[in-house]
Amino acid sequence: MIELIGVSKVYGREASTVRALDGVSLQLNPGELTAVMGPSGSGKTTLLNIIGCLDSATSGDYFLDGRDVAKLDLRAKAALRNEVFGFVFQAFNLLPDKTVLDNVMIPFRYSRVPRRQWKSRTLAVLAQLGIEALALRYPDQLSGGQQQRVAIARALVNNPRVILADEPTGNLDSTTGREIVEVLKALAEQGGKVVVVVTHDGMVASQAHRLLQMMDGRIIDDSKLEVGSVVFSHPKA
Amino acid sequence: MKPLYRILLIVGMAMGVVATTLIIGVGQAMIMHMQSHSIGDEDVYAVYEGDSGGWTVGMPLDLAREIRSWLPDDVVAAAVSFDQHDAEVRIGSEFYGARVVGVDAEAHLLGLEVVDGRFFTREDQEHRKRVCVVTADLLELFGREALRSISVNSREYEVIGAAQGDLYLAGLPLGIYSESSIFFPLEVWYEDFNAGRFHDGLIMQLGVFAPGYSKADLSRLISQNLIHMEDAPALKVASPGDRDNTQWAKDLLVLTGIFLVAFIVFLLAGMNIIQIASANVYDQQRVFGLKVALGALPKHLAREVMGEIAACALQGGYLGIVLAGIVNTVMNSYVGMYWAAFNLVTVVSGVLLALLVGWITAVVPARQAAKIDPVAVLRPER
Ligand SMILES: Nc1ncnc2c1ncn2[C@@H]1O[C@H](COP(=O)(O)OP(=O)(O)OP(=O)(O)O)[C@@H](O)[C@H]1O
Ligand SMILES: [Mg+2]
Repeated sequence: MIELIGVSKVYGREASTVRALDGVSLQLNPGELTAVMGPSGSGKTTLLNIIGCLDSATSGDYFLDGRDVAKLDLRAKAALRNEVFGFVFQAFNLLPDKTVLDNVMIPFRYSRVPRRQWKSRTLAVLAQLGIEALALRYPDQLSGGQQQRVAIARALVNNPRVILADEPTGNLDSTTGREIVEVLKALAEQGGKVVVVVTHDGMVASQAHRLLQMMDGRIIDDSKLEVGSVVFSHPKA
Repeated sequence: MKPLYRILLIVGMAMGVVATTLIIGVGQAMIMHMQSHSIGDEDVYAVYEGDSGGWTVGMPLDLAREIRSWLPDDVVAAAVSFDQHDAEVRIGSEFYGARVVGVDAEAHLLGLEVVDGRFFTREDQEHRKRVCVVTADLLELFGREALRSISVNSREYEVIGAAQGDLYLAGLPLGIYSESSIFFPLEVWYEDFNAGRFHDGLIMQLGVFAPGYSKADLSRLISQNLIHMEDAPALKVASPGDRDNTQWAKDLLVLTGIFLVAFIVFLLAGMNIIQIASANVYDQQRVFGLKVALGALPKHLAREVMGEIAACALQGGYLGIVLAGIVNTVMNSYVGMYWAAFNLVTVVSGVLLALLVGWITAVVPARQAAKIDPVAVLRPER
């Protein structure tokens, strides 16, 4: 459903250009948890942003369900981000002055989902992630793991087919990190979603079905992982 | 939005509302003030009896009549009495504190304009008809039905018309035109309200409409006639040009000053709103970037910014009305007579204008929000 062919992304102009992505070709499949590893600056976030239609490629082709994404306008891309993709970030990016319920409901504000469904659908997603009891708390009243579950709930609330998580466990201890990866893995295996997780953590990556290794804007390795594989963590800097 | 920003925005909006109401109110007052200067026809003079201190002392009716006989045929003069405060005026079933004034039939020449029915005539005056003319304001207040006739000191008078205007002769503060004046033929007024003592000095002045004559002409004419009188009264002639302009200019200066201050406050408030709203957008750019990632369009972000500012504008608007009320009370004691300009219309238009300005100033930050690049702002700072 997601197909990238020779995608490059160049930032800046003339004198000081940065080739953040350099001819990336890639296919992503439903039901698969894909981990992306690579040193800092290798283009992981850029790849995720392009897949999620938050950024656009400088050259190359991106087909989503066979449609050429480059031909879509602002409105169509916003609708894709709202309905097809769910983003999870490292810094949890919850709005501190809003309750968990209100935070998770944000995507509905930019959707065509009727208002009377907002609350029930939100509560259902919170229940799915086991945090329905936290609905009326504020972000600063939650632990890191709970906050990241809320962020995942928000990514899930509009029932997307693709989950894009950029270092979702970066701020968590390893036990909590493992729980979060398990949630994401379940979304791929049981929910049939495309799930992409950028991580530096070998333990997180070893849970994935597939591992992409990046370097200087290129995918240098793309391999299936057997259950119980050992993946070494990447040094962060 | 940070609480500090919210407070600053609300205060800014309140300042905006106070400033706009001031601008509108003082602006109206300035216009009225300027117009007050132009009232008074160059050909209108006032003849009055004054003491050495310059006070009007009032002349007897027979003297007023005699002066009139001295004047050439092309000059029209109309005498005007002081007003009677202790007359008991009953309109319909109510007693009303109207000002009872005696005038000559020609008062229309001096600025009273008939808006309903007719003014009384010289014949009415000579036949001592118990008729009167009310002001347009009284007519509006009581209605035509109740004002068919009125009773003063238990005597009935037929109301034959209504008039309005500025009987503002030669710069003397006549005060005969008030909203609640009732005009009677001068002779009737003397007879009924002053027991017929025509020699009492109750005529405030003689308004003289003398096209083509100068003040000096008129003074000469009067003094020529006074020579032949024993115990001659101290008659004076005043013209619109005599008016003391210094007080008027001082008032205008004060009004202009307030206007300018209000205008500066208004500008500062506007810039304050833009500044704070922009700072707010800058502070929250990650939030906006996040919202873009969650499917928001630039127009959504712009709308949210507008909404936040509008909410502050509303709260600031309420606060502003309260403050404007206080300012109004203070202003009342300063620019008294003109400050009628501060009223509900002023407040409402002030608030609407402030909202409009809030709306316009919200456009700048709203556009900033819409232009945010989500990829750049979502990049974790290292
Ligand atoms: N908006 C931008 N303007 C200029 N250069 C950029 C921009 N975004 C990314 N880059 C550059 O593109 C390259 C890839 O960046 P990217 O954020 O994708 O790396 P990353 O693999 O996610 O790194 P990290 O592990 O540190 O998050 C880097 O050299 C970065 O400096
Ligand atoms: Mg990154």
